[in-house]
Amino acid sequence: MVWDVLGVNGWTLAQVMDLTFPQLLFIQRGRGRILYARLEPQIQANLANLSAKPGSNGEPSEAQKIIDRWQQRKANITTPPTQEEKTLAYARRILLAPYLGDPDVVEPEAEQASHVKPFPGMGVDEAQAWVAYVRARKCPDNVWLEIGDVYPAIYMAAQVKRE
Amino acid sequence: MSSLFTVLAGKSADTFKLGGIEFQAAPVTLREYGEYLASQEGSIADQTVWLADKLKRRLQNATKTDPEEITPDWVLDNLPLPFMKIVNHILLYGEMPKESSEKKA
Repeated sequence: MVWDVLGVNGWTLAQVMDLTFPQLLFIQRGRGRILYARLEPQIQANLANLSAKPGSNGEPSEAQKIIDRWQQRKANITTPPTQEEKTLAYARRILLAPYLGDPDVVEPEAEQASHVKPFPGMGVDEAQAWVAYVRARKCPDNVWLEIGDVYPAIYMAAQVKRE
Repeated sequence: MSSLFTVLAGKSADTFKLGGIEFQAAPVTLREYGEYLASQEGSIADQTVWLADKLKRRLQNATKTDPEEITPDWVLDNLPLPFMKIVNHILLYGEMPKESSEKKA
């Protein structure tokens, strides 16, 4: 029984010896070792399908698509969702209503956030650069003291659509 | 759900009485149980030293009873040999032995 747990979790013998018998039973029943050990082969199989070869029609490769999506997210460039995505998100939100509440009720915080106006006179590029700077955690404290109060406005300026 | 948390904390909701003193039925760790198995090869005095040490930490009401009262001699006086098996079970599993399982066995 002890060997069962040791082989799965990567625990040391000393750690297992400090458990009580009911704790050991609990782990051994599988509730304590659900995620990594069981999912690892599946994760590896999914990663094995990933290739860096571009497609035959000049499409970017799978790996390149992931990198592009990641960099878009980092630069805070958002593409508006299609109607299909909106419908899907709304249906999912309705299914999660027991946990997240009524989807049609607008929360007061979200309403307040929508009242924040974009920082006057700041371009989209400049605002997006600020947001990326703050998100990368490069912003020192003394700079944050200056911009912290107006950061919501800067964030809204970064969301302004390009024309 | 509450039993889940007591299990994870290494505690127990059950209590048991020995010589009029109430103890928590908290299970021992495997290391401590290994020490107990080793002590069983020695004399009965070795076993009572181990038992007294563990019972001392499982006093339900430490203000009512002085932990120093629980000595190996006290264990010898208050723990009849037939109860040894039950106390063993309690300290290993953290609960009283179930009657139904006893009847089957």
